[in-house]
Amino acid sequence: MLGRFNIPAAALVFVGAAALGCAGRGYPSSETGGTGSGAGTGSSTGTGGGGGLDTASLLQADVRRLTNAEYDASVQALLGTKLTPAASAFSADSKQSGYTLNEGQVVASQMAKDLDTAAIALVTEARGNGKLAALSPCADPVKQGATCAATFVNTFGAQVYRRPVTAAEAANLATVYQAAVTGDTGTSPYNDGIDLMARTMLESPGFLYVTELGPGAPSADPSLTLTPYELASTMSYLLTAGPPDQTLLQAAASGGLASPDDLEAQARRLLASSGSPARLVRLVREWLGIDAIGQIAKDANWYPDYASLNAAAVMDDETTSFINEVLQKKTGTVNELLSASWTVINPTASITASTISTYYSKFYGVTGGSGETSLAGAKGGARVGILNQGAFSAVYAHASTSAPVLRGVAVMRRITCIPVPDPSTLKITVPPPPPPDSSNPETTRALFNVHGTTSGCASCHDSIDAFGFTFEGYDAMGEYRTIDADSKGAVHLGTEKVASSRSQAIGGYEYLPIDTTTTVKGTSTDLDQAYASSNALATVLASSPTVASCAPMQLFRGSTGRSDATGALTASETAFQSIWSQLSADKQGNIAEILIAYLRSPLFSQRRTM
Amino acid sequence: MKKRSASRRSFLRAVGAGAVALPFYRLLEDHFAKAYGETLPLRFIGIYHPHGIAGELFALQYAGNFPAGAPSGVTDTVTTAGGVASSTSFNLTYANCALQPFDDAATYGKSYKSKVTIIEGIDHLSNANGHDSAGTIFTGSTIDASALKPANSSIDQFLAVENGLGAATPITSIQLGVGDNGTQSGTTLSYSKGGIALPKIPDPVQAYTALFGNFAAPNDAAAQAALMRQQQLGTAVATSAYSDVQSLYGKLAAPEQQKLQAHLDALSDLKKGFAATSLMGSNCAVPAKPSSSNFPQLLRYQGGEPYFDAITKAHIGLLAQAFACDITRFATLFMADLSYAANPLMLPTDNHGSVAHPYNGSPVGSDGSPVGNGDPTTWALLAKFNRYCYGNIATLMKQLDAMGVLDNTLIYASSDMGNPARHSTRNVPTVLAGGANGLITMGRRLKMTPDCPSTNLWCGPTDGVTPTDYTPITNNHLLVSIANMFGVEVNSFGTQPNKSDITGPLPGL
Repeated sequence: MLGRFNIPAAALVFVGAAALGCAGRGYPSSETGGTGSGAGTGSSTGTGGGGGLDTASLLQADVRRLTNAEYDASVQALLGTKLTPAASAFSADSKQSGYTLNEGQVVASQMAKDLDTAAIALVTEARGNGKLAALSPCADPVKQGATCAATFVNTFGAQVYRRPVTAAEAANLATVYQAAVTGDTGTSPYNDGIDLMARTMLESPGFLYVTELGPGAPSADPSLTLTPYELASTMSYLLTAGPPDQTLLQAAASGGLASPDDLEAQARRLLASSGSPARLVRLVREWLGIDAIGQIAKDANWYPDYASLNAAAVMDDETTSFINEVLQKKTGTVNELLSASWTVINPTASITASTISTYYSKFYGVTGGSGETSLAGAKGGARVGILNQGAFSAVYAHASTSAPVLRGVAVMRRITCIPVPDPSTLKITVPPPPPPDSSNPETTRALFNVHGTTSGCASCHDSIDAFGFTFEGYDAMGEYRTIDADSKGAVHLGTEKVASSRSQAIGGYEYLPIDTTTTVKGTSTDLDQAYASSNALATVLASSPTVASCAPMQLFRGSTGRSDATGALTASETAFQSIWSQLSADKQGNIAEILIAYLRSPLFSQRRTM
Repeated sequence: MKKRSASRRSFLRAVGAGAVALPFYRLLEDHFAKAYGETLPLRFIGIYHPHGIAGELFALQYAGNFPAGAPSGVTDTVTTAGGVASSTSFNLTYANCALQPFDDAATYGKSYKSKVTIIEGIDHLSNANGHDSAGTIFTGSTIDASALKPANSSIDQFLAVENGLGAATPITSIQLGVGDNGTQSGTTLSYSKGGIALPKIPDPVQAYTALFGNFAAPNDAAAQAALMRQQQLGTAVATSAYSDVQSLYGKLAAPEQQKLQAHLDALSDLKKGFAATSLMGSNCAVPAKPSSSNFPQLLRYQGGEPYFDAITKAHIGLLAQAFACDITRFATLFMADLSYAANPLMLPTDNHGSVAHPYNGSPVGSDGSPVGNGDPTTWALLAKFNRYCYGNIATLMKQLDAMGVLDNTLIYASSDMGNPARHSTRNVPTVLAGGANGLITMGRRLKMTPDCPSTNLWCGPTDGVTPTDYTPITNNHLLVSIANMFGVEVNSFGTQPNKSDITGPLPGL
């Protein structure tokens, strides 16, 4: 299957996408997947350094701010603290294309204050437990304080900034030292000076930004190569969400990051390290958009159990545990993420074994506890892969109703990379939905059928809704519809509960049969076919070449922190797909191998000059 | 910037130029100036309340505003000029009226009817889902579909930062929120230049520290000395970081430099924030620090809902006192709902799904759509929530009044949607409140020209190209008017594809 996938096929995906019916609707041409010419230039990439890539395909030189997770991991690595200032106090990361690692994050006023508060707390702790003293030894702090301080800048400062400190930065820090010791009537002006410098370093751009600027010497070259320290930092953060360790920094200092083989060796070492699993789990969760599950609430009138079951937290744990299991203990492939017939939930302090087993029986209709649990006998027949676990359907739903359009768009944009324009970019009148009529109750699917019969909607919604309707087996909580008993005690599995005032209603509700069979058409991909349900869809997606070539692009986006504002494919993403397509079949579907392919390529080590 | 007035110059001569550097100088000068009848600098609070409005219980009540006749049996007196209907004689006390709190002396000590201007018919052209549209309220910008952010700064940042009106106060501006700490366009009101979202402070304890953390009583020499030392150290830190950011700035191309400019501005604010604040003045007193045990949870969906009312009231108290002490002059407040079981409003647990969404409007509240006369029980339910929100604003007005600063304050309150069941951003509720230094005639109601013709009441933003039926009156015009009130002479504000939508002040204001 995957072995037959080659460059011309990659171009075909995007020509095919342009032929999508949506294209006729004033659809900006840039969304038709880039030039495809990127496919033709990638011939020697992945083998030697710097070969063959068009400069226009390179990412632009830039800087990006550390994410909250990266900040916490960095201060923990530097000072051995157990504090997590960013997770507890900073404003939430602002995302780009769903990813927290992105070049759009800034340090705004509130963040600058929060950084200062955190820096003070960290320095106070490190002074109190002897860590700072150990980092700043001085034989004669009274007479040689400034000299010892300069040494501290070059040793600890280099660790904080992940590279040697520049002369300008050192001069600024020396001024900070003097500000602390001047007029200091305390017992140790030297210690106060060290403390203030440490506080400053933790608020300085050398710490807060990962740079992708190269050596910085002005040149006429259209492209530049990242410095070894930049390679070390960028690689470390994208694989572990943490700063480069001593081994990596030493390799940077001694020319040990010069070749793609060097980079691959370090990457494999980092992938086996303790910080990597959490980072990769986050990357996959942000890719699918299910990282939001912890914040999802549901209408208590329809789903009174949602809060008492702690369902959001359990599903949050499930996605993390499952993805972690696939990546660390199983095949680590996109195919397995999408097609596994099992799941895993690991109990935590707040999620007990009893909560987990209640979730399994209520949502899935299986008996399960901690550890791997088969979903082969689940209500509705099965639960295939991560898309059929609770979180996906709960995130892409409203407070009380399912949302076929949200689910369909999520599948198309995130899993298949088939472009879906937003109706606000097209000149289309979006009629408001008719208010539900309890004297003529309809299922959610029936209400959305208006898309198929309204001109201007069908060309996009035929495919969007077809994908989305396959998930109609799940309500807004992600539970298989619908298992609550009516007032006569009858259980209504496989039906949608709707408000009704008709004579056959029981307790104000009727239970109407659901239909998850659809046919996707008009995408001009291998996905144009009939599906019995979301389980059938997931099985097809897991082996689809369309999906296989989309995953590397998404992982590239989430690792580089760059994406086009309209969601269109950039030249870099197109170039990476062509690099990826050169991998052997067994590696193309493997998430770690996809990241290593990126790290070996000129896309990682070079940038386009501004 | 304006020259000091005659009375202020005489005060300066009296105390000597050296006094200008003292932290409390400005407050004494204000006090002196006020005694001479001068107006104090204008202050701004932008407020968001969720879930739109029950239009039938918000609208001016007069024949011709809705064909079915005034449901309340009340008729407001209306005159029309240039298409804009206005009223200075109107009733806010009829049964279920959403605006009752502004004319409720029994609850708020006096009626604030003469200090509000209520405006119907403004449209927010966010070009995005209603739930993502809060970012349009104070920016007047479309929300980019993929990046989900506006294109320009919000009015509070435009005035406070870009036009330097926040430079004189220890805190340039403050952004407070209830129940949310994210920076999505649907929950963010304040944006710096380029549409960069500014996060909100959801925790009143943190807000207190931000506003009053640097206070030391004037007769406490040890505390004063400690604060001076902290200022010295903090200034050194911020100065060093600022210099490093400047070096990095020089290495980037212009579009990328914008994010480092935000960092530079942030460090300037940080430096300013280290200055010890010494507070004097008859109405200025440092409030008691809120107790975190009153807010054990702060965020929605994480158990924060039962504390949202307490958090809102705490934020309101801090804002009033901060304005009284002139710690800041620019604030935004993002309010939340009370979506929890057994909430004190006795609304259904899910204020969104069970109150806003079932709202079934008549043509008055449904943008004229031809779906019947609606369901009055749903209007009353939503209006009950609206009254809670307006009640919070009336509480804020009462506290600003008690501090003597209501006359110098302009409050601009709106919601992301008009009809929430449709997620419509047309005909949103707009309330201006406060004295605004007399620069607006308060105690009025205005209704903008209809955005759709009578032959197609249900037209919408994407109808046609040319000629178009849809002629909105955007909040952009109001933002132009507000900028002008603050002495910033612009004739356009915000980002829209159609230039006429961003140009000119609000008609009839």
